[in-house]
Amino acid sequence: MTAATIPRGGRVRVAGVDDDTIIRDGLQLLLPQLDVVATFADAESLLAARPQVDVVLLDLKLDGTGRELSLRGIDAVRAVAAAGHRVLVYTNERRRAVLAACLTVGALGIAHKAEPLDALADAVAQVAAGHIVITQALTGLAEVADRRGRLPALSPRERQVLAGRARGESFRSIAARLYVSEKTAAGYMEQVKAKFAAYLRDHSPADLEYSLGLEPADLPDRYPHDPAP
Amino acid sequence: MVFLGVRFVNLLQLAVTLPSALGHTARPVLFTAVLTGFAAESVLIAVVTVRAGRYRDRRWGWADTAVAVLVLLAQPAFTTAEDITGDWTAWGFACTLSTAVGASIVFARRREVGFAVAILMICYLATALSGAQPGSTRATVLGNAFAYPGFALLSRLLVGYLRRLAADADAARMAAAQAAAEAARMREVQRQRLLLHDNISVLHMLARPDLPEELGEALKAQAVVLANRVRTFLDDAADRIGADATGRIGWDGARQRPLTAIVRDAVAAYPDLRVETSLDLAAGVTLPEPAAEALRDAVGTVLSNVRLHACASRVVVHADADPDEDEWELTVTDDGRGFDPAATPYGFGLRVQVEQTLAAHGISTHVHSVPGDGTRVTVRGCLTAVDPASRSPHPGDRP
Repeated sequence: MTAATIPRGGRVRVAGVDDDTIIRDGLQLLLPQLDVVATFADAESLLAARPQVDVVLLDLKLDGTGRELSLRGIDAVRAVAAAGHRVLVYTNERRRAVLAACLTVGALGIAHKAEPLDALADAVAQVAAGHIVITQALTGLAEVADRRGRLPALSPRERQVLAGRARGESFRSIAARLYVSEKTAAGYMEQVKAKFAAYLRDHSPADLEYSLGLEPADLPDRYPHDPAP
Repeated sequence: MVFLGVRFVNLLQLAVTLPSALGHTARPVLFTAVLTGFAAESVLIAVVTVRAGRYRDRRWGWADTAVAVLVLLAQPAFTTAEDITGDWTAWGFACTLSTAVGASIVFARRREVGFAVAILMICYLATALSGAQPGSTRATVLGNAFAYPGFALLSRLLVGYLRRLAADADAARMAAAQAAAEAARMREVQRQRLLLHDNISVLHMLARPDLPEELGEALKAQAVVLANRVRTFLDDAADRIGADATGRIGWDGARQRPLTAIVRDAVAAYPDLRVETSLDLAAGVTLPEPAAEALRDAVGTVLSNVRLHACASRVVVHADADPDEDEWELTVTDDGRGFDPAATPYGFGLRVQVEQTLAAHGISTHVHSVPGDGTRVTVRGCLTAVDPASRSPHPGDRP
């Protein structure tokens, strides 16, 4: 994001990177509440153009253009995040280890293409504000990490909120159960996500595999800490 | 191991006859020193070979040959002429036969084997013939000398046969693994074909510029169902890896099924719902077969209710196990429209197929729902009712 600032009360500026022409052309129509200022078929084009945006919506699979790309998958996430952009990975990828690896290399959020569009718009706004956005599957993984002693810094309240969210409970329901406001419950979850993201950034894939029970076949083709080819 | 076995037998024989040999030897101190050195070198080679798992380092082959030569050359100094044959005082011949065996194994090239065996023969003949009395003793020495190439040849043939056998076994194992992988790939391709077949017609219809308006909504609804089906397929692909869906026989003789496999079975029947599963915390929990079937049917009933009544955009199925509370827990949560349990009596499905059926297996049910905020069905069972060996393998769970 080349030092872009989020306009207070203004519209969030977004750049999209997707090899699918329909997604690129349809992004503004699908998300009218956002300013889609530019779209690119690959990460290299985005890095060359250096658009002034608040969030980059980045697809993981960028091989549909037919060209040989040096940046795709977690390499693309790493490069775009390293260029200073706030990255929201927008993908059909379901493997938890791959999604976790995206956070490891600097993405702030993950959104599935199957999510409703208002959920995507909300995720973009969250990432634009610097918050971590994770999928339901990764929320479950955060609970596993906590239960196996990998997130020792969680407070009892954070742990209760995480348990509720991992079970699909709404903030409204959690708030009523814990006698706190919805905003407070959401705040606890923000802290949990930040700690989980920090844990992913600081630990090796082998540790994740051992402590979180991710099967070897679940791991991405290349570990996020490995040097880029 | 063939080499080490022969060497061990040699030393064992020598150990048994050692008191007698020490009584006959001309120089007990030298005898003991040479024997100790040979035994030490044998132990060293044994350690190196066992650690490496094989005897293939040529340098050790030459070292063993050199030690054997030294033993043969030193032998006349501690052996009398009468003991050159037929007595363990002259143990050099018997023990260095294992060196010839070792040479035939450790050296890949025949000429190296031949060279080592020739050196051993020459040293033995030179030292034994010079001290042997004419007649039968000399003939015995000459006959003994042919044991070196004989043993080397036989062990070379034996080890070569064993190596070919092992290579054939490896090749057969690899071929079987490749065939299994290919069969799995073909099954996967078939699954993908079946999955994608319906999508083609829907996509074609949606792409038509002259699509009748009355078909639009129906096609969109169909597209959502197919998209969710593809998504479930992708989730299943990850879940199938390492999943133990077949069950096993438990400690009480009843067939046990993993809780995770039971849930996946139930969820698989509802590909149109957007079900997220989070089952890691219950890894290792199993249920006996009658309860497993009841639970699968109950989860199916709950999901069927979600499909029919909830209008949910997301369903989360979460499993947990708490050894401290001796309890496993399964929750099915949707974000649909919910209902007021105080004002709305449960239907037949929740009341009979879920609550009553599970209660018969010692599993409790709790339903929490708020209008406009979804429904959560929680079922809990006792861990001690299942195989103690099936508890979570993660001691770090539940700090």
